[in-house]
Amino acid sequence: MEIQLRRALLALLACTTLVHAESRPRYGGAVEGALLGAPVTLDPAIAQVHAELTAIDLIYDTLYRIGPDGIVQPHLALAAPVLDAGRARITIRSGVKFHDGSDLTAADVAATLERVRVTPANRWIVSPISAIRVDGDVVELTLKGPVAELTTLLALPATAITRSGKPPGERPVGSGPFKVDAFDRKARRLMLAAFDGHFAGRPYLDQLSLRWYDTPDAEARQFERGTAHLSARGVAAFTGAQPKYRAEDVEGPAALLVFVGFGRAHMDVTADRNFRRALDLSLSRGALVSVGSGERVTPSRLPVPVEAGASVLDVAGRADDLVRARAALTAAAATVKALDPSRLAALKLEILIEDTRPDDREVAERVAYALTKLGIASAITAVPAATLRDRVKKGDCDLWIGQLAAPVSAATAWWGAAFSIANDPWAEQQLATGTLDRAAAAKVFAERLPIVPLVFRAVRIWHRSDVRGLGFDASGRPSYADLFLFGDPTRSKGKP
Amino acid sequence: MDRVLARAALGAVLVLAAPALAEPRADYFSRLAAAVRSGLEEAVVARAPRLVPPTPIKVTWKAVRVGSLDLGAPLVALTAGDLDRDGKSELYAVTSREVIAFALDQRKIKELGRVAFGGDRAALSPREVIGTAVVDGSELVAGVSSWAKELRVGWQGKVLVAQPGGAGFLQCPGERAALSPGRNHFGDPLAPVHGVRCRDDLFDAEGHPLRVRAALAGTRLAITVARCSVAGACEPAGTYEYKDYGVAFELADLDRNGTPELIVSGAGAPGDPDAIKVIGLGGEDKKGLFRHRFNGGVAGLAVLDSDGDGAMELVAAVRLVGATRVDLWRFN
Repeated sequence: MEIQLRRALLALLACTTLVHAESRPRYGGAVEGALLGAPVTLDPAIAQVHAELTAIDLIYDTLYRIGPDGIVQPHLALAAPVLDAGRARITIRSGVKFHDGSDLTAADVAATLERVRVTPANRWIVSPISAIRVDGDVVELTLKGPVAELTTLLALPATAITRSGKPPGERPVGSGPFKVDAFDRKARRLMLAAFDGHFAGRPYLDQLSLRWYDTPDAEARQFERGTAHLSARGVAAFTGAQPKYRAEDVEGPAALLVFVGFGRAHMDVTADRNFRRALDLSLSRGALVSVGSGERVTPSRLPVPVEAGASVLDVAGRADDLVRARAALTAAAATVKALDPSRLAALKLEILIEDTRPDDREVAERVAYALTKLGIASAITAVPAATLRDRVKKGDCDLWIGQLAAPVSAATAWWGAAFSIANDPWAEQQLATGTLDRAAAAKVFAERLPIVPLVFRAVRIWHRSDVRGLGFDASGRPSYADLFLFGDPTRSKGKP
Repeated sequence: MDRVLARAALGAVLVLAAPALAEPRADYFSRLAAAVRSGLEEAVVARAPRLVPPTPIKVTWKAVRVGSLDLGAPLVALTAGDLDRDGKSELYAVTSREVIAFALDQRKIKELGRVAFGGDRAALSPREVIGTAVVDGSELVAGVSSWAKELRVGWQGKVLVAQPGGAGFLQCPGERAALSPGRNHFGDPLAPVHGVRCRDDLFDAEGHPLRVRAALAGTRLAITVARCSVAGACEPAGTYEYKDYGVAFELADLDRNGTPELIVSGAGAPGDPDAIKVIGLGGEDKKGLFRHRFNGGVAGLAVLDSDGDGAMELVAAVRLVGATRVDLWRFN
């Protein structure tokens, strides 16, 4: 009883000390962190995965930003668009500089949006726009119809402003809080330096080094040794081990969709809607909850998170439904010869994964198991990020494990990205009318299954106790520009 | 009075006229000028305001939570003053968007008015919003890093009004500074200054006016005190230095004992435990005269006489980091 009272008192004391000072962050220092895999490109217009979107947020700026609360705020734009007679006029903030010292102008904004319009990967974002014109420091967008979420679309990373709207190349020049010192794919490292002239404030750190690893425990090992300040894959290589310095963790919104995409190597099989449905039904999403490093994982059958209006999957929805899956496979076999039971044993599908995202292998193993339940053999192939991107683009695979990141409450962005990643023009065509009907999107998605959504996961980052200010934006991207060092790291108990 | 002034004026004329007069009469005029000068000095001394030593009062450091307010935007500066000249001080909260005036009653708080910042946005601002609030005569001059120009706030009758001020930040009356471009401090990045407070309404134990200035550089507070004569001439009376304190600090003489007090918050990182401490200048600072811990960060401190009884009260605005809601605590 006394012990319980003491514990209660200690708990109460602990609560009363959970308080917050108001001193100001200090400038200086260098931090080593990690990206969730290898970035193939630093070009906003074609960026896809979380690692690329994280880097782009640090190097470039967009017209608008979506805060952690989901509210859209003007960023490079001075205010909300002024809508008049089918036109949206956006005044661009003056005095904004690119990293090379040149001015960011309305012409750069217009050229950037023009390039997005002709870039297949992300042109759906600007499909409601029929014309772009510069009028002094104003960019005038002619709209095909009333656009409900124009500022949300113009806050997406693909619309980040590049100089003259051109592809940025290997040494990108943006206007964001960090400038690129080095993008070394061989050493798996992106080196960033603070940009003193960032209009929204110089970042607190002088330097930020973001690495990616090709072995499952390398990132945690770096953190355990005290070499890295941040880790998204736990604090130690072995369970129960303690890192050199005491660690705390921060988790963002579950804004990262992990999905199965379809290639064209066995096009007759993977393009068949009944086969896709069979795969969807044979997957036990509940089993995917344990994949990762302990972050929040929410199973989903839709490419839209709960925060954007999707309903929570019940127990039945999380489990596989083999009866219906086999029925769907039988229906597929009626038109696809390779799926005929007599030929099924000869079919072997390849599942492509990226070699710097170790969680994807676990996900792929679950997908392979689901295929096994259908009597279909499969093999998992891990390839470098660039190879994966290239082979997916060419359709040179059967299945692939992909990821999408978007503002967690922006349903339009999720629907648009989900159709677009599968080269399905439905969302783009819908958005061209100005709005995307979510009920219609759900119906069409269920019919076509352009991708098979698996889970939405959060990103959890462990940080040393001297690293402060870590948060996430609405897309689950770490806010590295707000990071600062304060004091000395605290040693873990029991460490020399 | 009139006679003294007439003598002084005549004397001044004679003194000025003296060099033009002939040499033999110089002695007379010299003596006359000296006599006039002496008479003037006597008149000044005779008319000088007498020094009134402050009367010490007992301060009850009882903490009272006056209210919880959602300001609609993060609080960036807090100050107080009797700008409407009703004998009671108002509290002025500066947020990233507005200046809001409040009146404090015994246990409640009432909004008196609010005015918004406007005009051009700052071309280059820090990642966090920085603000200043200084009472300058009958106006409050408020500056916020997100806006290019300050706001000069005053009262027209019972209406709070504002007009655009200058660029930069008024730190004390007559003292302006600019933020280091893109950073959360004033001055050079190698010698950052995070805030300045000045008081010229305090008195020492003998009643001499004091001019006190405190500047926070990093976490180091440097305080200079000048003692002034009744004629307005000031001379240095002390310098003090305190380490490891936060950006919310204030100067006052709450116990009216003639020794100014420094009221400080903690220097921990956002998220660390916070507290306020009252230190008598020149006295022991580890424990201080008073200390109080909060379940939140101290975002602002102000000293005011909210009820017009002549006793100053300390007000602390406390919040969770970045929150728009603040709790106001009153002491004394």
